Amino acid sequence: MRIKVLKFGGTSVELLAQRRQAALKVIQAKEQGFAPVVVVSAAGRAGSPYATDTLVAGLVEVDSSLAPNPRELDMMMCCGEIMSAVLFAHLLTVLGHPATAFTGGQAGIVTDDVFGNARIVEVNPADILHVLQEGKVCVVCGFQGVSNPPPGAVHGPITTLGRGGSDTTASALGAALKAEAVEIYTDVDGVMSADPKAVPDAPTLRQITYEEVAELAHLGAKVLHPRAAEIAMQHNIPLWVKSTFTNDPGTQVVSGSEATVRRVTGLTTTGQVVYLNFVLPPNDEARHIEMEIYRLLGEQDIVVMMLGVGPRGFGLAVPRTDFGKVRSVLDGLVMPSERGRRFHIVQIGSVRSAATEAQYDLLSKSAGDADIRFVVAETTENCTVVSMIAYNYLDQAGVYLEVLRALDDAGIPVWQTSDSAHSISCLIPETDARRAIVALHSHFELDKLTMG
Amino acid sequence: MSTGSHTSFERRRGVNAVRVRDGLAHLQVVGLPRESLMPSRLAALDRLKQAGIKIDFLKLTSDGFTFVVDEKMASDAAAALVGTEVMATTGRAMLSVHCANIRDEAGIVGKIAESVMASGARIEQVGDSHDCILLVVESDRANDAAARLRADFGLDGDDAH
Repeated sequence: MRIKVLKFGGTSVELLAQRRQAALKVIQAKEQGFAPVVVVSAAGRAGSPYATDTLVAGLVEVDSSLAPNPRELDMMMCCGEIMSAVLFAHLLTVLGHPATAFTGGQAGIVTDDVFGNARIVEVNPADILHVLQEGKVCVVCGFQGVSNPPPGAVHGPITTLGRGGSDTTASALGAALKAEAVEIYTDVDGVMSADPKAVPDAPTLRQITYEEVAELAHLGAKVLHPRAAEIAMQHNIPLWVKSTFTNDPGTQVVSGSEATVRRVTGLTTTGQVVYLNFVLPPNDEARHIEMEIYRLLGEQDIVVMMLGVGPRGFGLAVPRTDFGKVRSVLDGLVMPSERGRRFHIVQIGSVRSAATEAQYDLLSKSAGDADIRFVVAETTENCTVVSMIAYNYLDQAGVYLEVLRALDDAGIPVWQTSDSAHSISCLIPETDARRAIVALHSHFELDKLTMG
Repeated sequence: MSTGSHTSFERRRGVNAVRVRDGLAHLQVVGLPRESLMPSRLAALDRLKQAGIKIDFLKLTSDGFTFVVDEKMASDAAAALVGTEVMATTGRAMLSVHCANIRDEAGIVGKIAESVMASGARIEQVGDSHDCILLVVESDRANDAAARLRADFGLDGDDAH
């Protein structure tokens, strides 16, 4: 039995007309001799009646001050996929191709017990194989699984896989079923060199490596989830990204050894962040202050990025949505020195807040001759991260220079850089994000990047 | 085709590998003029490129930038930057602490830094990507730091799945 996994995202299953087009892809695969396993997302995007966000809003409106229990929240979040799977299976059956719908648990997907962001620990596809052997199509709910039963229970609770969970379901099923291919269907033709909203003529890449697509996904491209790419890479599953609505061949994801070596693959922007540059006292307590700040931010579940150490202190970026929390945790924070009567007060921003002044007054009065110093965090709001994904780019001298010069020539300031094995990222003003993508796309001639 | 047997998936949460890359030099270019900071950085980077020196781990600072190179290239790099204030320290190592989806793991940076400092290593530079925290430390402390990280994060050997 030749198995192909076809995954359809929310925009491919929102309305009957779109589901029909998706169903035609499944029927085509069947006519080519494949036993199709379909994975579906919830119908539509935020705002659609059965989209995950809409379902969660129904819980929140009960009492917005009381967060839903994570277990029940995951049950609610699964409903959109269940509806999609049932509707899709019925459509296929009506079209003459009998199909059976499966929840994630019924499909054998077992996860850890982290609600909202569970990871797949094993897949037992026996029931799916049984149905495939009957000649039926299997339609599986993406984004969900079940965890092992807690002590004393017989059944495990439903879990969800977090962002991009349906892609992860598709890859995991592909690996467990030893599928000939996993095809991720979306509303664009494949993986593109940049967001077409920024670069309208951004080409669709015909071939890309697992590492590159994972890097693109991690750094903001929304076409495929990085966990899906990692599972496919680990199990060497042939992976494609295609459009539900065209016959474009799409993008083939291959292993590094199969790919033509390319210098630059694509460009992304990630998130809205605030950059904080902490100016530390020039003494041996600086590192302890730095550690304490990392620790406190971690305690508040605040993710830090774009790290760097300079002669005056250290810098980090936080998501803009967390900046209020950063301010409330750190601004006015008093750090007593391990060496007696010295105190450091953290000040967020160039102007002292009432909280910071109050702490200073209090310490001045209560601690008498204490040495009170300020750790000022210079803040740069409204930043974003633009990233260039490149294969083996560090093997060449001058790549950093080229990136920085292209941005400088476009008049775009760069506040910090970071890099990985396959990418270089720059922290820039959010208002310049689109121009940065255009400048880098042009400088590295990505418009010529059409074939593998 | 599968017979329906169980298959394991996905990397474990948190730190899943610690690696040491030894034999590096850490160079800090300082004192560049504030009024022409980026052009001065570009000019310095251009000189490194002209000298054919591959740099790694570029970080921008308030008055220049820092980077690492192969230790054997440290003097060439310093020579390429003659006329610029450069502090070059050899005998450095890069600790790569790998973690799946690091930017979904709040607090991990602090734990990693705490662990490295507890080993006695001094962190000279730090950087991050989506799946890795990189730290420049003294070479002679690097293996102790790696061992401490592996112990603190429950890794038996170099890698864990």
